[in-house]
Amino acid sequence: MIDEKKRLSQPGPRSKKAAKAFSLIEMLIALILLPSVAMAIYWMTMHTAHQVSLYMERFNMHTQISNTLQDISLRCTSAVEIDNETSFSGYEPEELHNFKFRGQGNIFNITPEENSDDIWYEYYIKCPSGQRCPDGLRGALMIRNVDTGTERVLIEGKYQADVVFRFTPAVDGSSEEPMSPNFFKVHVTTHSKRKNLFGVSSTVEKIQGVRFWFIDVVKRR
Amino acid sequence: MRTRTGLTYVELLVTVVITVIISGIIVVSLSGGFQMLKNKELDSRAMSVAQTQMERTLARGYDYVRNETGEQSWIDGLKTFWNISVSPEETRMLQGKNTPDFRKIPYKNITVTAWYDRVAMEGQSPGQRALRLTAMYPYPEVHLSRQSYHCPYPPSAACKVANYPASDDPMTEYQYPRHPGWQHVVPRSKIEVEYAVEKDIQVYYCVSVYPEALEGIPPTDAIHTLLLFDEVPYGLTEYGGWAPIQSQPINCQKITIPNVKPEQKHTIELRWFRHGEKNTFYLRDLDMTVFATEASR
Repeated sequence: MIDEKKRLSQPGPRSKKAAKAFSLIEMLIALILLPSVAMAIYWMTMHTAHQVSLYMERFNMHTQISNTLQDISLRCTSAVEIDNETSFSGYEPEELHNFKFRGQGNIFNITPEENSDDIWYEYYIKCPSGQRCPDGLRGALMIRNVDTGTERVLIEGKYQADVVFRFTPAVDGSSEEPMSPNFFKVHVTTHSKRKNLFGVSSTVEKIQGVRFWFIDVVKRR
Repeated sequence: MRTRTGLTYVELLVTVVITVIISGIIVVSLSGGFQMLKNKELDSRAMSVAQTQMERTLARGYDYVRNETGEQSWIDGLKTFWNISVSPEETRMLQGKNTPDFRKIPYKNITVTAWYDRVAMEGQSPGQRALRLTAMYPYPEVHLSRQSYHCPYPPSAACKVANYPASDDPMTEYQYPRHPGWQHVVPRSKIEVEYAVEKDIQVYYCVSVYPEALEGIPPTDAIHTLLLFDEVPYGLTEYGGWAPIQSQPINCQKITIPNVKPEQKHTIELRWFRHGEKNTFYLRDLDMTVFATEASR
């Protein structure tokens, strides 16, 4: 027993001190495993955060598009006059990227016979290309009060919005969907600059049909 | 006595293996989330297409809605296909069966279907998904038909009005159809109507002429107008109505035709002539509007 105690106190592979430390192989394996696990955890965290931000961004895009289409639908329905430059000829399919009309100041109190409370509105894309523009507003879909000049952002500029107002007349022999003179289709598109993941498209787009109560969108010239 | 205060090597390896397995499961589930996101966006697109087509169909007149098929292309190259199906139906009033008051109420059932190819989920085939909207389009309560004609200035020979001399006995002379003067306005001012339910019709028409020379128009020069319903003079008897040109170069009338029978073709025709033999007159404008509402009983 005294020999055993003496042996354990001496340095060597079977000494007590040696039993408390890692061997070289264990150190090497640990050096490889721990960074791998740390990288895996880091990648998962970044991946999850990226997906969360992607979901949030798409939610914002969908929300802004829905609000825009609802705004267009509510204001255009009770419009009483359309600007000549943004009306359709009615002879062939046409597309416009802005739309200017005179509508109700209060869309929940419609008074078509009263002109004093009407406002000229315009839907347009801010600084579409090649123009000086305030940061963040280039490519934004805006609604403007033409009388006062005030404008409001419907879709943020970072989504590079595009809006198309389309009218297709009824033409014999045409395969295009015919529309009544008091109806047109609005197509709103937004683009995300984020990197795609798993095949999700970078664009979000929606269409909506708008029927006018009091006027036609077609002005035959 | 020996005590253990740390992890052994085997325990560490087992922990790493379990961590890798769990992270793999999480990654796979998150990847499936993107596919669900894309499918939900395709659902949203299909709904917007279906709603747009339904709104477009309801904006068209009752007689103009028909079966249609088409597709909506998107920027990412995908397509949403749509189909409109229209089926005429009718229902009956609940009361008054077997009595003259019993009426049928026609309407059209409109069904809009939008379908698209889904993104394949893990272990599933892609498949197609269809979205269906239905609406009822009631028979219109008001029908409006109109015919108008305008002779441009300077007038052509086609717009010149023939002269017919005055008679001592206008009550027999200007009877329809014997008097040769009764003629159609150029072109034929005839409207054909057919309604699914009984209607009351109001016909508004205006005929205006202008003389080649303003001076010397006798006070007896007049415009005679006559409305024919199903080729029978209506309203103002077979002699029609008349208005002196000197004071009324525009002759307007309103005639009411009640209880027009449904599901039959009817014709509403306007004839006229100019009574007088001096000066030359030309037709300027003709406008005839037929306004039909549900018959009141």
